[in-house]
Amino acid sequence: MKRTVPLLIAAICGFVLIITAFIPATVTWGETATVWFDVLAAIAFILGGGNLLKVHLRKVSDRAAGWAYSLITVVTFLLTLGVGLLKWGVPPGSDQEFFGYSFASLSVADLPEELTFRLPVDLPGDLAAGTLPASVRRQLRMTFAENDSQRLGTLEFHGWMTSSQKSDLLGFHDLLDWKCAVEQLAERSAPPASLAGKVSYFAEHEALAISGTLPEATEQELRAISATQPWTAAVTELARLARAPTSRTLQYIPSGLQVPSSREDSLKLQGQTLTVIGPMTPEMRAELTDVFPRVRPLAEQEIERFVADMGDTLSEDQQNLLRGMLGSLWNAEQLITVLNDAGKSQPVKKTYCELRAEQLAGVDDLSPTRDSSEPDTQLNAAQVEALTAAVMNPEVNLRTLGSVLSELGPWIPAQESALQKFRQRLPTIGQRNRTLVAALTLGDGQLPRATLDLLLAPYREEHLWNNEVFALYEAAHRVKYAWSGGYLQDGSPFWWSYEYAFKPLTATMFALLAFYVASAAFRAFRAKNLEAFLLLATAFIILLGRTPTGVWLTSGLPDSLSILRIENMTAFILSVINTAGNRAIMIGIALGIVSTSLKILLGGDRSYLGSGD
Amino acid sequence: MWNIVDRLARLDRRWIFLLMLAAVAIPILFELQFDETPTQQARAVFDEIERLNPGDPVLLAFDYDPASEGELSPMASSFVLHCASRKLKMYFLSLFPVGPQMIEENIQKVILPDFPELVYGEDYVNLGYKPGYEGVVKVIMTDLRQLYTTDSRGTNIDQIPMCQGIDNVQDMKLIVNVSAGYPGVKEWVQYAVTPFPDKVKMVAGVTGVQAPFIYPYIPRQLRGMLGAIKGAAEYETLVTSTYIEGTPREIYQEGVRRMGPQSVAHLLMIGLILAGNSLFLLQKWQRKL
Repeated sequence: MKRTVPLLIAAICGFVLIITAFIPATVTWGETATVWFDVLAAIAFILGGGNLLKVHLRKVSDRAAGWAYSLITVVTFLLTLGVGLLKWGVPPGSDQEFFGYSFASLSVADLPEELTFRLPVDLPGDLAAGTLPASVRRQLRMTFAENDSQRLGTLEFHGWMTSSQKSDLLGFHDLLDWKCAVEQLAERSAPPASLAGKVSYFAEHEALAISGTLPEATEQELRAISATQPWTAAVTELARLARAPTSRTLQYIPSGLQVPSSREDSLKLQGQTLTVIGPMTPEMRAELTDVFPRVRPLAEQEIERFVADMGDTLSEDQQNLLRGMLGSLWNAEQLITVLNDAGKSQPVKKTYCELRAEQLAGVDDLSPTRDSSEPDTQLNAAQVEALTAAVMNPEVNLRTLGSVLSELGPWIPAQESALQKFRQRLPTIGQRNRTLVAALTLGDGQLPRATLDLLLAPYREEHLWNNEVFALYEAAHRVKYAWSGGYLQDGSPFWWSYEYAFKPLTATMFALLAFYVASAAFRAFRAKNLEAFLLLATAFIILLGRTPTGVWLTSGLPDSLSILRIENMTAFILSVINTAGNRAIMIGIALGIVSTSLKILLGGDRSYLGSGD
Repeated sequence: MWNIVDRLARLDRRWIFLLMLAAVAIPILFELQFDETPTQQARAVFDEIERLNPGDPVLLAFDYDPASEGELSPMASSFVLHCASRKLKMYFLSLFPVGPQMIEENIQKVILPDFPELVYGEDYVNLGYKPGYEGVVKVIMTDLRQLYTTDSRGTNIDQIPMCQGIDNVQDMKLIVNVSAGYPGVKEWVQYAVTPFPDKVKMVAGVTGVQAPFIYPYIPRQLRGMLGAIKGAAEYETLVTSTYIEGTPREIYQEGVRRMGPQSVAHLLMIGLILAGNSLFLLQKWQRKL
């Protein structure tokens, strides 16, 4: 039995793979067999680890020759396994952690009836036979019509549908009726407007989730949805998590820092202490770090003043470079173009229900978009003049420029959004100065310490503040999956052992080959007979052909003798003689593999099963 | 004279080790470099990638580890530079356990500093390592999701925009393999290209030891091959001269830079072979006298 089971596994897998290689219809059998092979291979890794411990521990125990090496092997194996599996010092994975959210456990089965949304439909019954996307499988139910078993009568969705679930469902089938039904169902199963964007239900994580803090009014609204015990418990848990404060005593605070008015319920700054209520959302973090002025275009006098502030520490080349860089930051025309582009009316994407209505009305050529009824919004002369003056004025904050422009003429949300995006893409003064330092010190460029400090001071302040905010962001985070971080994350013990032990050791072992090959070339590579001489001559040509010297040695040969150029001889040997020889060997090996495989699969050769000890 | 011959023939091998150390160290210290003229193989690899259109999906299988990093990382960087410059969609994976680190290193050194506009998940994705050797190749040729349900960061593959619409490796316009041995280029040729000769095209970069064994697959199963550092240096020269204006960053000159010490080491080997055989013949002659 001990030998029959592995024999059967080998035989079945082998024959399945042979069959699938010749019969395309059975390809999936091969995939399944290979996946099973992978499962077995994973178990083999565990057995391999066990075997390593057994062999080396015995050697250590017996004080056999080389037992100290065995001890090192065992210790490093256990150490690597430990830091790899336990993920010491690894923060949770950012892409699985839902930063800014608090989770309260709530299974799909425990969702209250009030969160079950039904949509009467008339859809083909075939849809029920398809495999639903994994993200909605636990929440969507299709019910056949009472009077027609071939048609779907109701779609039922448990919980609030997320945008990615809607997208997955839209991609489930191309039928317009289906896509329209999904749109309607998504509309029905959206959270109330007052909760939208704040509260979510993640079925894959079986969690009711809230972003940021939980205001009293939102909590009452959530409690009003249902009075079931699991729901109430989940809301209570959310309130607890989302209202827990996290404080940090700041070592550095940017001058004039104020908590944005929209964040006053979740952020409090008292003296040197910054407190966040609940987890800090990525948006909140971005807002907090976006407090440093962005670069603006500089007038010529300002550029000259900047260069003069550097004193006589810059060479003429450096001064010219500085002038060039400061003069080419950006200009008002670029921003005007961006805002005018954003003001152009865009085609409006039709909903699938609109497309379906058009289809029912007999429209043959369905277009996914329609022209916007809104006219283009372009900046008027007063706005252009105000903008041009504002960007040159250091007193004007670009963040609030939109409100100034909106008083002077038409101003639409798309332009406001474009203005803020444009502003966020601009470097801060610190970032600009850092780039200047990098450019000025490129190559042989030097800057005195005092100039460096002067230029880099704003960047250092920004760096300090960003670190403060990030530390609070991490401290306020509610960990969901503690072990979700990658074990190779920079700075983790596993990464350290890889970077500073495994990598240099393996590279060193490989590099040692060069020394042994050199020694062998001198001592063993001798032309003792004709075969050895041929081998030697071939190696000589190939080695020489891989060096520029070899190519140079024969470069003087005329074209009629070009075959004798070393690089051509190398190519000829590799692509003709070597290929012919290798093909013969490979065909021989292939025939050998066929016969050996058949012997193994039919049980004629059982040596791979071991001695049975 | 015979005394000298005997002494040289019995030369302590540590002197040879010292010579090899000097042959490698001196060109490194003095930054000895030679110009590389691309050979037909390097051109074939370059042209194959040039034929692709922006947005075409390319599988970059980096099957190597730190042991062969010295020989293979320059060509891997050049492949990434070339694909990113051509705006191809890059799907990275590895059949080597430490391959994902090699992939990550190239992402950090090439994509992040020089192509910050490329977005993870939209322009490139790291699918990571899967155990199973050629079994992995066999399965993903017909169904990628059988084995790759997430990328190396644990993100569901269906939620990665550039993975939508990619059902298997047959959907790739080209496979680029950087291989240090088993599993590697031979397995990709046998299980990816050979069963689907009309759909799948492949180029590869291999270690010097492997190169002679891979020649039989050229040109039908393998469109082109870069052999060791020399191949890397030639290909690197082609890519940087086409896509980089001015002096390339150091990372894009690694192939050419590493050819310096290798060339001198090769010359030393040739010298040692000649010296060893001269001594052998002299001793033979001495015995006849």
